[in-house]
Amino acid sequence: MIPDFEANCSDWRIRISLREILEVHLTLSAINQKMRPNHVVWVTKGENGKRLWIIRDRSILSWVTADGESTDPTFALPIPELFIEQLMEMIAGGDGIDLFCNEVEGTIVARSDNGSYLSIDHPQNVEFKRQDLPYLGNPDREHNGPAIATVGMLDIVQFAKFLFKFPSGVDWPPNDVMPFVAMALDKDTLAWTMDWRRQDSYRFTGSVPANTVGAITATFYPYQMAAVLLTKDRDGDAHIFIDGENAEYAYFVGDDWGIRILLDAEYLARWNHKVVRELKNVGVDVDNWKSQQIPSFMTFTLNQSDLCYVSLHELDDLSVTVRLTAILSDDVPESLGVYGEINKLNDALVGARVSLRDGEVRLVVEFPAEGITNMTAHMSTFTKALAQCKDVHTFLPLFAG
Amino acid sequence: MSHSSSPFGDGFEPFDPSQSIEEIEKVVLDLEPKIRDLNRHMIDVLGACPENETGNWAYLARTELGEFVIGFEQVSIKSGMKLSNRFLDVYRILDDIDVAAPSSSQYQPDLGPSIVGDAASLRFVPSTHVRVVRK
Repeated sequence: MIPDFEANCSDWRIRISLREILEVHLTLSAINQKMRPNHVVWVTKGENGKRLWIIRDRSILSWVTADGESTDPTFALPIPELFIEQLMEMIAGGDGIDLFCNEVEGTIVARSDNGSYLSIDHPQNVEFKRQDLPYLGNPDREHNGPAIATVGMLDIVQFAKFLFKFPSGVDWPPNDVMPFVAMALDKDTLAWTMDWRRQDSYRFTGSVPANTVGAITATFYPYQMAAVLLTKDRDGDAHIFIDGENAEYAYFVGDDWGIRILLDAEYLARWNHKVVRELKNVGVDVDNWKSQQIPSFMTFTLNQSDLCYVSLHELDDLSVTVRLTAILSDDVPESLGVYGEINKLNDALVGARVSLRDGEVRLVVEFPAEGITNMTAHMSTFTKALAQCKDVHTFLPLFAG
Repeated sequence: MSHSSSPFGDGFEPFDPSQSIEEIEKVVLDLEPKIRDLNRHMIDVLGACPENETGNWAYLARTELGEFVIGFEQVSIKSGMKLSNRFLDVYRILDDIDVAAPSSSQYQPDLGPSIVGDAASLRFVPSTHVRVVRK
């Protein structure tokens, strides 16, 4: 039986141009080298009437804007990634495609100018979330010194090509994290460094001219972003925006496209998930964290009530240390008596130390990140030391004077 | 639309205040004021419930186990959609308040959107188009 694609069609219809579907397809291909059957691209409308195509992966979101029509729906329509690829094939030879839904079959239908049709099942169990909004302001964070750079597209593309340049002969173990880029905006320059020393190679540093306002340095996983930048026209300028040193994201914005990239530290990407896993293996669950960024420290609870911290610290020689911390007492003033008691405690502790910092008496166990496979031993040291120090909050004030 | 033949809804036992003095005290002094407060706040935010003459959204009910609970009016699909839009309005108002009261004095709320441009005009999460299969 020949299907009637026009039957039961939705009361809305979206007219898509060849140019916009090409832009969306290129962006999608750059972000996801392999199309994933259960992932979607969103199309929706901004409050200024512009049509927005939104593609998101774990640490990157990219958008393409196009002139919408007044009849464009305001909801977010999920389109399977696979369908975008098919639409590219279908649109060849025409100016555009009409997109609508069949509300009996539950399908998304595309009709080309030459009268051919293609339909796909409407995705289920997908939801447009806050993380899918292209711009995410974060008024709750500390904002000190936003930075903006305007960079010619030719220079942006050069930057992207360098990010993509893997040193020849580099070999890294499976599941290792590839280098993050350190990007600096300052003094009318966009500069960057890719550090390949962990892969037994060298650091590569470059710069291109830019108009900058403010100064900032940020690190992030750059490869998908570079691939998207390489798909863009070389005309005109792009803007880079980072909303202060505590910002979660960097924005790269062109005339009809943009990229939001999550700012993260490479050493955290390498070690955080391993630390969480090893702690779980010894029966310790870290508390959830709010941000999409990888946290530099996490909290967990021992003995039902002792709030403890696990943190990661990168040293100058690129080695990384894991630190387990418990705050034994706070509001403790510096005094000879207090330091004397801390010294006595440290004499009795094995593999742990107590120190006074910022008015807090802290118990710390530290070890190289490579040692997380011995987490049982480290946690045992930590819990024993915690038990030895359990009365510290009662006797320390005696020595405060 | 009436919520059920019982004023307390399906699955609820009608409340009989004659059961004990203690219960009457509890209902009159504690639960009914709470329900009145709840209805007042809900009507302030959502408007009167279109499904009954009083405009109240909440009512006192009791489960089969005898536990006091708060029941809410059943509403028609049409009223439910209006309610959904009303919640969206409330969300937008609250979100604007959040944006208008940043914790950091250095935050410039218009700076990011001015650079991001058209895409920043999508300020609120749009509803997701869902699969419709009509029989």
